[in-house]
Amino acid sequence: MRLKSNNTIKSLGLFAVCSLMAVACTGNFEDLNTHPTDLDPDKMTPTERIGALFPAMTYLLCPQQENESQMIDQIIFGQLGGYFTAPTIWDGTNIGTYNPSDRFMRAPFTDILPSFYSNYFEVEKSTQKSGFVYAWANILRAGCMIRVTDTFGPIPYSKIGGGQFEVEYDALETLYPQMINDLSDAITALTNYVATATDTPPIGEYDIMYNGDFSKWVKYANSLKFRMAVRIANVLPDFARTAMEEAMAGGMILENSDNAFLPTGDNPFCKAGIEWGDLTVNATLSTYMNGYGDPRRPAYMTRTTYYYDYNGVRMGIENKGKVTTTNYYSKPNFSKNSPMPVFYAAESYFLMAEAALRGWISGGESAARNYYESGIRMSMEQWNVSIGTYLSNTASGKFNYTDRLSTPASGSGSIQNAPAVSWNSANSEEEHLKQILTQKYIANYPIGLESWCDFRRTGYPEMMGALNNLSQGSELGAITDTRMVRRLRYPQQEYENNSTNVKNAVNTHFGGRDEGSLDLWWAKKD
Amino acid sequence: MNALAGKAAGVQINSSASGPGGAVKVVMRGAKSITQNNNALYVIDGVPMYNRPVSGGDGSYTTQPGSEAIADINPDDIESISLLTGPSAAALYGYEGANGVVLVTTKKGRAGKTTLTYSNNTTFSDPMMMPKFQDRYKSSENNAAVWNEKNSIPYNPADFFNTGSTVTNTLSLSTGNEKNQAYVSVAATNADGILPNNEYNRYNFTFRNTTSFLKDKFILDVSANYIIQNDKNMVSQGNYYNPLPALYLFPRGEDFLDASVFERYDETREVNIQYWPYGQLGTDAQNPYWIMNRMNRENNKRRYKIAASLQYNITDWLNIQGRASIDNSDNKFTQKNYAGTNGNFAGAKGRYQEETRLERQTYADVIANFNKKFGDFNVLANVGGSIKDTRMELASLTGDLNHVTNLFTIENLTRHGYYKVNSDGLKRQTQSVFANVELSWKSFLFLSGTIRGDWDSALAFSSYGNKPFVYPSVGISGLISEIVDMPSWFPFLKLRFSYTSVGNSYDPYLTRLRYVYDEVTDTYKSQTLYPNYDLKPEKTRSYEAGINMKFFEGTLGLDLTYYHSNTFNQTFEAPLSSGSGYTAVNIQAGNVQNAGVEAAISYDNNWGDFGWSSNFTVSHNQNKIINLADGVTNIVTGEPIEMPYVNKASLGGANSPLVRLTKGGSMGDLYIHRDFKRDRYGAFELNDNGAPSMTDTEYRKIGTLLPKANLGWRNSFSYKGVRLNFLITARIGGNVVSNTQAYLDRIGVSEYSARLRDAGGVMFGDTMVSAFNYLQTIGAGGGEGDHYVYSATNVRLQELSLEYTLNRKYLKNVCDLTFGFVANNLWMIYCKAPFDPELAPSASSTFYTGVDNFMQPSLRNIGFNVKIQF
Repeated sequence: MRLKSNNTIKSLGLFAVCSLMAVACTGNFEDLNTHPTDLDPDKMTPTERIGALFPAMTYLLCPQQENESQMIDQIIFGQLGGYFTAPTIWDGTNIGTYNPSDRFMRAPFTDILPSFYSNYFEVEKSTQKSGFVYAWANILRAGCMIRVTDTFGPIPYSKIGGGQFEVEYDALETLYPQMINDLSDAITALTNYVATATDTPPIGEYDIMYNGDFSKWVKYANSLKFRMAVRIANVLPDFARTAMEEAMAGGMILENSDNAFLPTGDNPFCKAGIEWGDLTVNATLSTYMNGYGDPRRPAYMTRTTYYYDYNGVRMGIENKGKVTTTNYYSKPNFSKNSPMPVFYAAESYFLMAEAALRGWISGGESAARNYYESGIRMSMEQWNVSIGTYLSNTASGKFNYTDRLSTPASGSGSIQNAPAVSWNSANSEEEHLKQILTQKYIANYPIGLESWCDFRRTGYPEMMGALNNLSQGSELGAITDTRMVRRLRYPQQEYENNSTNVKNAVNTHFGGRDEGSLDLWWAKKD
Repeated sequence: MNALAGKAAGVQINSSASGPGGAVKVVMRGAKSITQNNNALYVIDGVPMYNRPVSGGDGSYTTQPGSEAIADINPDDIESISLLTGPSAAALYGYEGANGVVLVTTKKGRAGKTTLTYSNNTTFSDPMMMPKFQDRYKSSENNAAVWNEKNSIPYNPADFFNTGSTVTNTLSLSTGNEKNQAYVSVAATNADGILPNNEYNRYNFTFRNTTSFLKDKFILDVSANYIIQNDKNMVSQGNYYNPLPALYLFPRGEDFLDASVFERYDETREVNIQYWPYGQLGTDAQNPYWIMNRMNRENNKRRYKIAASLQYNITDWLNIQGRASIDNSDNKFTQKNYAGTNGNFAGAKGRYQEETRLERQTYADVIANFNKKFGDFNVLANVGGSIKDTRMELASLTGDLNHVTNLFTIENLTRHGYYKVNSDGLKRQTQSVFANVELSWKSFLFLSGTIRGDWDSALAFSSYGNKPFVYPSVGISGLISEIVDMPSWFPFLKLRFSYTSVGNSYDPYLTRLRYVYDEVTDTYKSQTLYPNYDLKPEKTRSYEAGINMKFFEGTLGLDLTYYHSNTFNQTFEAPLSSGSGYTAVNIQAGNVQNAGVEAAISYDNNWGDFGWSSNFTVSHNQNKIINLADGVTNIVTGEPIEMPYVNKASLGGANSPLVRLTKGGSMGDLYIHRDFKRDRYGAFELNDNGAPSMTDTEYRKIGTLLPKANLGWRNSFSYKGVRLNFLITARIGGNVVSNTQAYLDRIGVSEYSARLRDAGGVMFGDTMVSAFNYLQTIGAGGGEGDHYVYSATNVRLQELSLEYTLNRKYLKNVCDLTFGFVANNLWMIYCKAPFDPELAPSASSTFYTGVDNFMQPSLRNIGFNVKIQF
């Protein structure tokens, strides 16, 4: 209680002085107008001032924040990438039924862009746009921005940061090469730093992904660069080839010990699945894994309690509502402390397998096979399961899925033409590509953006699309069952606050139709 | 404050839907600010009160609403209340007075007389207006077939409600002699809401002493208040922490009696868990009894207010008065969600939140008052300075329970998984100097002028800096009837005119970059606000002209006022394209105009023992946005900003009406952007199931939330000791939106849905569309387009009271005895909306009034009071 009376006495004293002087005492106004609990950057050490921003930027690679995760990595990437089904229908809309409302489409754009750049601009200011910390921020920029552009298409990138309220969009033809070039510059700067650095720098304390081991950031960045190069290799093969060679030469994530994870004590996939009943395993995933008898099943998903099997839910099942029990359906098997994945070594191998197969890197079919099998081995090792005879598994063709519940209308279905796991050199390149991308899909769980991109780029892996396709008349426009959703509509907010630029982008690249059936530049098959 | 409704012109009062103790929204002469609070300022005995209502928020995802500081005052301690509706109040009470002032004067002891008063006020409440339900058909969220099945299990959601009661007992003592007067009172208010396990309790201890000493040169007035207040499970609206969605949407065809056994023993978990096998009902529904009994929200407050004032009469025409007051309160809020609560709100063993909020306000002023006659002139002047210092500290811990089920302590919170810490605070100081002069000549011409300068800490770091903002006012009034010979039937005529300019500050902490804490990820991040610190104080300019007339020996009176105000340079967050790298920017622009007319006609006469007084008030306010931010220059690029409109609030789902502010529009314009899908020939398009669908259209204006006029008619009849009062209030014009009705229709529990089923559906062109298909389409997401927009016009019997005073001469001179019967909100005479349009979800919202999202129904209160004065 002393504090209070002191305040009172102080105020009264102050007042007496003020009235005597007939002017106000505003000397402590700066102190008063400094937020009591938020951080004042000027009162932090230089390292803290920059470092404190990195965890928030890094989490944008796979948000821990429950709603962000749900809106981006679960409902959008998780469903369109074939890993999850969000059985809840919000206000009659869902990505899974191909009729999302603006609220369920906009998050990658309206969350990631401002959340990233408001921090990035401060890093830019503090680092004067040079040095390894700036390079670190730019690696994050590439990692975050593909999550936006791969969802919508052209986005503001090169013109961002000039203080403009309304920023032009970059065409994908120039955006992707520029993102890769910016990433290459960052890799060079960080590689140089790592070569000379002896100790972990103090700012490493704010590295939530690799605890200040920046040599691992170089590996992540090179793997990311390879991922981006594969994305555009169909449409810019020469540029992509160079980027792939550079990435391999620079060193990628090739060991599970280098895998990129973000720590959490409250895993949002676990929360949405177990606590909310808003997330189940996608029937596509369980069907493939059941078809192959995949030993990773128990690591990926829970067993159903009534049938003691692994069974997902068909995406886009109308009127199911929340799935709160595991009686009939499997939930993603995450615990509260499961770290959130950003990049696996297995993906590096599958990326190289495809590149070798397609001749973007050297080695041809035999190298492709090596990379492919290494990718599978790496994944098994990562999940700590014995690979057994998986590599010689020849199960293929039609894999059926049975929905145990008949109300609402049963969601049974099948994967029509699953490729075998075992590699047969006699098979066509197309068949090999399908194998690689199918196994990549299984291994990359639950990084949904990658399998969604692969599907749009190559048509693989085959997925069971929306059970109830409600796209007719929706904001996405008509979506066909076979091609599925190719992109999302730009947020309504852009039409309100940046209408000239969004309309220009839509007119130039999508013929004036901001619809979900239209292909991104790199997604058109050659 | 509800008691003020309809009694004064120009004041719009909305009670919030939170039941007893709930905050009340008081807006005078129209909303002026796009972003800031538009509520009137409360001034208690000259000291402005920090009255931050605890709102649960707007929209569907709201939490526990709270009470407000003004609700802590015991009504029996109030001597009088007066309203200053115009901004001229700002000259006296600073920028917060720009929205008008409610002046509360509390009781003092009386000289030469000792009275002991006991009073009891007892009120019973029940819902005045409920949605119209059906129970003749079964209902289902998603099964069309069920809709046509007959239901034989009767169900009336209203049975869930109790009769609410509020009992106030006050004992007060007033005593004094010429030198010293004292007033002491003790009061207890105990209220039970209409919802089970909802209560509000308040205990007031009041002391006031006034002493004059040193030959009456000095007058010392000291007062102290101590208030203990607690409330439990207050509910306002929304989908969560509200039993009403599940109660209303309960599937017809099931027996609600089953649900009333709301918890049942779970063998595996070895505790009682929630019983609710009825599904989500589109709203994350939980058992209504569970929400009221096993998700307990409790608030505990201790508040003390101490004030002292010392007046020194230097001469008979000059005195100096100094005042100081502190007003501190400590609040503790807890929320206990038991194991078995929906996973959104609790882990397997339950969830607990504990929040502490400390509020501290210190106020002091010194004023010199001068009052002297010079021949025909009289000069009344004062000059002074004041300081107001407001602090708030908040700390909160929330987490799932870790070791023991349903043990609600902070030690039992998990550190892994759902665990959130949050702290917040406020520090703000305003210093002011002011002067006020009133010149009068022969008591019929009055000239007044005021000037005030405010220094506000919120401006620190801005480009404006720590300079004061200064604002003047002038006024003139004349008693025409004193100079002109008036006819005998028209004895009084007064004309007045005033011009006022008011400066205003903006919220603290806008002027500097800060990193904010994210409680979910335990990280700090830069604000996503575009850095614009070139901010200046805001400004309101207004003038008003008035005429007061009395006729027929003063029995008939007519007061007319015209006012006109413009609020410029408002600070508001303009949303930005994400491509800018930010979400919004603070810009200062805008010009919101309020112009209106207020009229009051009064009649007061006596015929022997019979007396009648009648007062009719009418007010009309025209709100217009002259400009938003068009033409303001972007500080970085130097280019002019284009801002033809700003979307402020979506009233329901994404496809429901929204409030859009446009240049030339008003602060309450409702826009929609949905309509039935038609083919190119204009015929309705039906999908494979035969259901119509909705599609986006251009935004179009369909109405406004703002009323055209508010009317009140108060009558009082007296005969000897009996007095009968009634008050009829009306609101004309404007719209309200009901999300509730959309839900009821979509799930098939509304009477409307049953009537459509009776009729076989709705004709679309020449096709019959089933009730299910039709209502699922228009009722999606809180209501599509204009389907759930209603006229807000309503007329009601606001108050009816009968009082009888038994004079002490009939009681052997022991005491006066007063009995009263009081009924409030008694009868809705006219209303086309499905809920009470005057009910507000929260007191602090400007754009979310008149939207029903499962609001607690408005209450009809009937009660009696007894007062014994010894």
